[in-house]
Amino acid sequence: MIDEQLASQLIRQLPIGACLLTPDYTIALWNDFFAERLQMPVEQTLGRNLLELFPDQARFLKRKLDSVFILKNTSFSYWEQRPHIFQFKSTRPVTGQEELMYQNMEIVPIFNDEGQISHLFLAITDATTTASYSIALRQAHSQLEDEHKAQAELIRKLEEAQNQLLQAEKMASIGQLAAGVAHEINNPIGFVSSNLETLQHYCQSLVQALDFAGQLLAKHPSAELASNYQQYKTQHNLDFLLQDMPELITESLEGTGRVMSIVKSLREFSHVDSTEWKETSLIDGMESTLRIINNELKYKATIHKDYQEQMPLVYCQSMQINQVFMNLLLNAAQAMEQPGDIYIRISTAGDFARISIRDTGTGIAPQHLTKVFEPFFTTKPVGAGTGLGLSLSYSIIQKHQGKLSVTSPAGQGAEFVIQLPLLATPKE
Amino acid sequence: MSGQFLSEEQRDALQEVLNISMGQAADVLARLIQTQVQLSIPSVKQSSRQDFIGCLKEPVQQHLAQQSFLGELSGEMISLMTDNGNEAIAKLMHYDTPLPEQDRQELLLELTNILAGACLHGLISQLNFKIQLAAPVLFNPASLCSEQLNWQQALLMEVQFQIPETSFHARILICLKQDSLYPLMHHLDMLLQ
Repeated sequence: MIDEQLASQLIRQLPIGACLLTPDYTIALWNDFFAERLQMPVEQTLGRNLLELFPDQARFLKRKLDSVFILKNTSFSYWEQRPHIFQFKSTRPVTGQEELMYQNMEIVPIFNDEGQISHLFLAITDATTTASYSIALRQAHSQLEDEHKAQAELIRKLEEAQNQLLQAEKMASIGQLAAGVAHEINNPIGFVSSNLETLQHYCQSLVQALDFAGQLLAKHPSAELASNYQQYKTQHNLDFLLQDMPELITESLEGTGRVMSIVKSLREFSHVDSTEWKETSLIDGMESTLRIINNELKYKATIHKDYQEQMPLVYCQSMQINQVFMNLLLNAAQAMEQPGDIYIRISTAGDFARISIRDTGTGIAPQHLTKVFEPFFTTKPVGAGTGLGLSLSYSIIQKHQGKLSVTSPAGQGAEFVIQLPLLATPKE
Repeated sequence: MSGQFLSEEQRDALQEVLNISMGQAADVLARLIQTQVQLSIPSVKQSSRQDFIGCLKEPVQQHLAQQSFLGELSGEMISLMTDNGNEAIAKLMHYDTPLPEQDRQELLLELTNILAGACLHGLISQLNFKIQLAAPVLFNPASLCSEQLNWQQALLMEVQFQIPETSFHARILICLKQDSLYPLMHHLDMLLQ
């Protein structure tokens, strides 16, 4: 049989933390595991109150001990939920990364002969190895998940890029088509317009001639002739006809004028000569762009223009610059939840031409400000924006040795500013 | 394996034992949290694997924990709880609310240990078994499928706990496989004699 000395030596050397408590939480046994790892020798702990010795954990320990006492059942604590009940140094000071030992705890009730709980046995086991494997596994898992997400995101971007390419190709064909149509329309509308102008002159002469005829007849002695003429005029509503005819011609001329300006804009905009560097009027470019996207803007925003007089010409790829104007204007319009205003200002600032497009839309969130020029960045719903408009604009302006910047004071919409050098040299 | 595990008399005896032990469980619980606890009448039923899994994978968002016991009688207990009334019970158990995730898990395990422990304690003390409880662990039934289980029929004893005035509700299942039934039947027969 085991004698008392052997038993106590056995307990002292148990490879788990063993602590025996009386029902009033007084420590009755404190083995080497506890003593050495906590640097609290037996003589310092025996007879002391456990809760007072460990005030940080007192509430938790009391709850556990009390439940064992009342329920007369073993209670457990697991490293995952409560890793460090006692501040044991890690069991892997050399190879491990963890500072403190991960612990599982069991509190077992010890009964006396009358079936009452005489002691509570508190056992601590080292779960550091399991814990560190488990934690590493979890980290690896979440890393894999992150990578998976990143891949999915990449695939999404690729899909969008492909869509964008398809879209670009489509736009290019539409541009060519538009250029072709514009060219075809240009000839007939040219002669229609010039014919109408001639017709306007003819019409004036005709009206004058009829007036003259009327006056002559009024002076004629034969009243019958005058009354016949008057009757004919009334019958055929000649007065109205003579009044309306010039108006019809004027309106038609206005119409042809508009058709011609649209055709001109289309020709300007189609990429036929888009890479050509030439001295360009930014104001003309802006006006031509505004005409093209008039339909997109007119119900959403009122355009306020402020053009500096005698604005110098800028040496640039005008079509590309127009593309930038269009992107910025469309973005401004899309930022409007309700009809608002777009302020366009073209002026000189030092050696630069400065074009500012400011809207009263929803603005750009501070955390997005640094990202708006990144390719594929968009806050528009999926499918509504490619995230390429601004990055394309940025690269166009950079190619012109200019600057494109954005500011968005909270609640005041956004302002995009383009600066183009006035003394630029062509860059291949 | 089909057919009934328990004879009618054995089943009645077990039901009686459960009734008494659950009453005791409710009593100690009430003492622990200083609040009245209500229990359903315990049910005893024989369950197929499909029924067993179906009962764990109920559509409600619930948390499960599992606790094994071994010794003269061995089996598992499963607790099923929702988040309802979580805060209320946490306060009764002297936890700080709102509960951080780790504390929520600890509370779930603690409640499992307490409720399942109390139920089992009554049962085994009346039937005179000696058993040991293992630590409760969190349990996710999502990956459970009936083909993986190496049994056909099991005995499920179920009791439901409620705390009036809170929405707290917990189900405790004590599950015994067929090979654990013989000692149970033996002890029940002794009780019946």
